[in-house]
Amino acid sequence: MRITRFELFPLGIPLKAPFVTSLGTLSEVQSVVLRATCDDGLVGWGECNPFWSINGETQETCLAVGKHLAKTLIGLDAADIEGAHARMDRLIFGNSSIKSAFDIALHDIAAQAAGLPLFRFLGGTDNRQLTTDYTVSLGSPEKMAADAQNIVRNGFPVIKVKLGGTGDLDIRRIQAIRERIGSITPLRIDANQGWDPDTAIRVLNALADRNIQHCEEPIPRWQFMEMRRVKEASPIPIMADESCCDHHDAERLIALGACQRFNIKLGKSGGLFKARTIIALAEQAGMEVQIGGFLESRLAWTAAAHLA
Amino acid sequence: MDGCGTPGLTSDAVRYCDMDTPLMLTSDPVRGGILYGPEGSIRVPEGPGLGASMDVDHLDRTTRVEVH
Repeated sequence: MRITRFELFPLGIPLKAPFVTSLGTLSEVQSVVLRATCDDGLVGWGECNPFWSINGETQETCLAVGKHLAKTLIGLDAADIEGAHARMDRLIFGNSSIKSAFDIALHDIAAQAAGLPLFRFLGGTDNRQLTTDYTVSLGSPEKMAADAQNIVRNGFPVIKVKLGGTGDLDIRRIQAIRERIGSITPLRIDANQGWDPDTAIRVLNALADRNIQHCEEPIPRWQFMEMRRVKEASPIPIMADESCCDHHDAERLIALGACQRFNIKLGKSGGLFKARTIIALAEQAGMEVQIGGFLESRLAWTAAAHLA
Repeated sequence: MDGCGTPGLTSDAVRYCDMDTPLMLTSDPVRGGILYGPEGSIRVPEGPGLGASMDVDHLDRTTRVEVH
């Protein structure tokens, strides 16, 4: 089960509609697909979608760094996933997006060799049905309310709403959505670091009775020392996203009492191996987690769903 | 109850799934893999491994980076 070949492919797919967050607008997905082949014929697939403003990686850097990662992993036993991460982290700091593609491909091969679906290989027992939300991009209150109504009509049980503009406009956005769809369908809001701490506290209190499950990353990621103050003043649970990439971040946020929940994305954690450590830390701390991601195809999302 | 409906596959700590972006793409180059059903439901494949692969016709072999 020694890996004899890695192939990295750039993959571009246009989006049906622009995806708008407080971090910017995307109209096309630019991902990297990885195929790993072993000496015994087993083939594993991986994928990553580098998000420039969160990962600090692009499709081009993933291909360039991926070539170096491939060289350091060639000849390795695909089942030695911990060893693969040690080699990758020794070679180059960060670059969690492209490292996640390698992590997924190695897990694919190792689970195939074990004869198990990936979720069982990861310790899961039952194949339960999962349920996803659907996201409303940032826009005018009227546009966001119309988009939310379409999502309800399409049967989604939860709606995620991108926020993170001026506080007053964000409050109007949620008001408009609630006036259009009523109060039954729960919302999740995501400020993508768009507020300062005082604005976050003001907006979250104004939205207290709007049936909101949680708020992702209310303030800039580098202000993580302020997160506990926001959490303690907020009637809505705080979920760390950009401030929680790998297990070291999770450990720090737990020690700080910074949030109630984590949003795990394989492209932030460097793949399944470290994501599982985040989940274990959350279990110990009695915290809940969300499994999310970037704009990957169903390939990387299949890995995320196995982890869920 | 919540966005996952039930606790997740590998841990009861997993309570929420935010997995909608493949539904936003104009094409789907993946063979196998998770299946999206009505009301936001997702089914995870039960074959060995990931259970998903890429349709190689969608991949540009001319820009491929190969290490062996």
